[in-house]
Amino acid sequence: MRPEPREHIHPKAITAWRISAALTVLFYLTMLIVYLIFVFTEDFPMWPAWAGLLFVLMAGLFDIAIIPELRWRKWRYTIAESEIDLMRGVFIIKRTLIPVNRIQHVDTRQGPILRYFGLSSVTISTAATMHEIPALDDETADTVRNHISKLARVAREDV
Amino acid sequence: MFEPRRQHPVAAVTGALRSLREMLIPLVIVLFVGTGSDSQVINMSIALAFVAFLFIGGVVRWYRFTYRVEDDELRIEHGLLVRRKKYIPKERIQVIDVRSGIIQRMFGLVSLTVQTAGDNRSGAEINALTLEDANLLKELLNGDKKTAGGGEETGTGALPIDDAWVLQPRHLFIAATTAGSFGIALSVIGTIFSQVQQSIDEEEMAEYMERFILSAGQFWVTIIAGLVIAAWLLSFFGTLIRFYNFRLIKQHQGLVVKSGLFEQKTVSIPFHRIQAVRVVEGILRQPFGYATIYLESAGYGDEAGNRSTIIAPLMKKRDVQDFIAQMLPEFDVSTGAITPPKRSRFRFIFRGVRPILLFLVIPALIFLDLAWYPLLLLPFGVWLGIRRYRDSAAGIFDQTVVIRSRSLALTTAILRKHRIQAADLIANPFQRRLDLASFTATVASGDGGQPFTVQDLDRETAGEFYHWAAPGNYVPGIEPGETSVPGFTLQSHPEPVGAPTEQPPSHSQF
Repeated sequence: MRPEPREHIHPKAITAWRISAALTVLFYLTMLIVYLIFVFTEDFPMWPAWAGLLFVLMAGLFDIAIIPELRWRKWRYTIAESEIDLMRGVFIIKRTLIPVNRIQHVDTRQGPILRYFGLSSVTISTAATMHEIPALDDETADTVRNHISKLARVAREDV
Repeated sequence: MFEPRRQHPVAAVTGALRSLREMLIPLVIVLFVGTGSDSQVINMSIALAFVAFLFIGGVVRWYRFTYRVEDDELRIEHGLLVRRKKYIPKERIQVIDVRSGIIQRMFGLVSLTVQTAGDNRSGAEINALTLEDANLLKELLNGDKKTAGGGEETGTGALPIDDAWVLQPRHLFIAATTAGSFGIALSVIGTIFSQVQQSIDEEEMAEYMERFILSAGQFWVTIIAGLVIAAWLLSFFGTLIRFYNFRLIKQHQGLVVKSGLFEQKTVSIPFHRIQAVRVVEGILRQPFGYATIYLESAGYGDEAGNRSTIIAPLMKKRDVQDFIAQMLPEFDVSTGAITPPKRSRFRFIFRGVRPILLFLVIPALIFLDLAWYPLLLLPFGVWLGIRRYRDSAAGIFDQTVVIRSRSLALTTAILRKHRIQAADLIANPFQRRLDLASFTATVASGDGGQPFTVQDLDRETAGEFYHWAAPGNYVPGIEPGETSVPGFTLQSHPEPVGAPTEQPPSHSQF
């Protein structure tokens, strides 16, 4: 059995994921408030609002308090000379191996939340698939991107 | 072919007809609804001017469209108002397609399509050119310079034929008969069933049934039988037309597929673009020992949205190995088969039963007043699960992996390691409890990927497959002997599985 990948992604990812989950919760709460307006003006039934609130709070609690840390703990990657090995997943554990000479291009990307924390994601594209290493600090992300694209250039051939 | 060439003038006509087809709806509106003017004469003249304009456009477009091969690039320049230049490097070209529609055939012409990987818009089409020109282009673009300008060969292109395979008429007929658009027919029926049930009101239906003296059961059986027969007829004639006069030709650089009754279609696939071979035994064909063979190639597939190319619509399963050895020797392997362990059997059965429970049994119990009859389908689910358990297998032979699995049809895929774009090893909590994992290898196909999965292998074994997928690694751990399955299409015999020189994965940190 192949050894598990070793590198962790940046620990600040946990906070970034929490904030992003909190924003999602906020979005659904806003929707609920809109619905409440209809309840009071148009005689819509009240119970869906309660059910929605319960669901949003439960799912939100789960997504904010529990999942980010677990997700961070499970996320590992290794970049070797001829392949990239990723491992992630809280419940369904998935490992992905990408041969370096199949890589077509590597990008880094950064949303507003990640930017606030000085983090970036690296996306790796082959002719058939796309993979992401989330939340590396900017410097590591750039190094990883340059490193992979250098490796990939050396190994360049057919699809 | 260095000086720019124009297409055959017929292209002006076909081009105009094509834009006419695209503009048909506005034209019809002008003719029948009118432009706001009451005079029929004005409407007619507007429509005529419109058509004339289209034909002038077609001529100008033909005049502006030139193609040439220069610096190993196909260079096309075109454009009515905006001049466009499209340069496609030879290396980017995945598939060159030559076909002839009815109009082209009247003038002895063909159309040539060049497909590149990825984006659809990056390909190109030359609409009307002579067969010689098409063959010359193909030669120049297919990469082998030393054969350029070689001798003529009737019909098949300028290159000598190494080998050929022809679909026998008897097999064409069997292929058409068993071309079960089984799933499609079923889903169509399902949709119509649900729609009809909602839209017909009960009184109307009772009246109808009284008139034809049908019981409710007979009524639905008639409708379903009608739909099934219609779907079958459609697929029967569709297949007949599509695979009429099917030939597979092996040339120096690749395979050429030709077939079609009304529109003869030619697809060339260079050997170095082939990503995987897939042998499919349909559920209707397997009992009679027939299989269909597909090729996965990078590029965007044919216009019907099929991403893979059929290289043999139907052949006896026992001939498959010889066929592959003859046409695609690179994919001719024999390997021992690793199968899922006994403890995974229940998971296979559960997966077979699950969709029936979820989409038929439970909804029927809830919405159709505890209707129990969908339960009769459960044994089918169990049977399918057991078949899937027995048929799942994977094996490695040096640089090739063979993955066999069943959905309804039995699929055996042969993949070369250097074509694998990504490998996955997946274990959900239930699989982890039983120490199982699933292995997936994805190759490029069309503009996306085609994954091949073998479910619920022993976790350690699946890990060996995963490890093998990394460049330079071999698999010492997989012993084919005791777990071999006699029925494995690519016969099991205990050959050594690659050289047992395991290299520890090298990690270079940055």
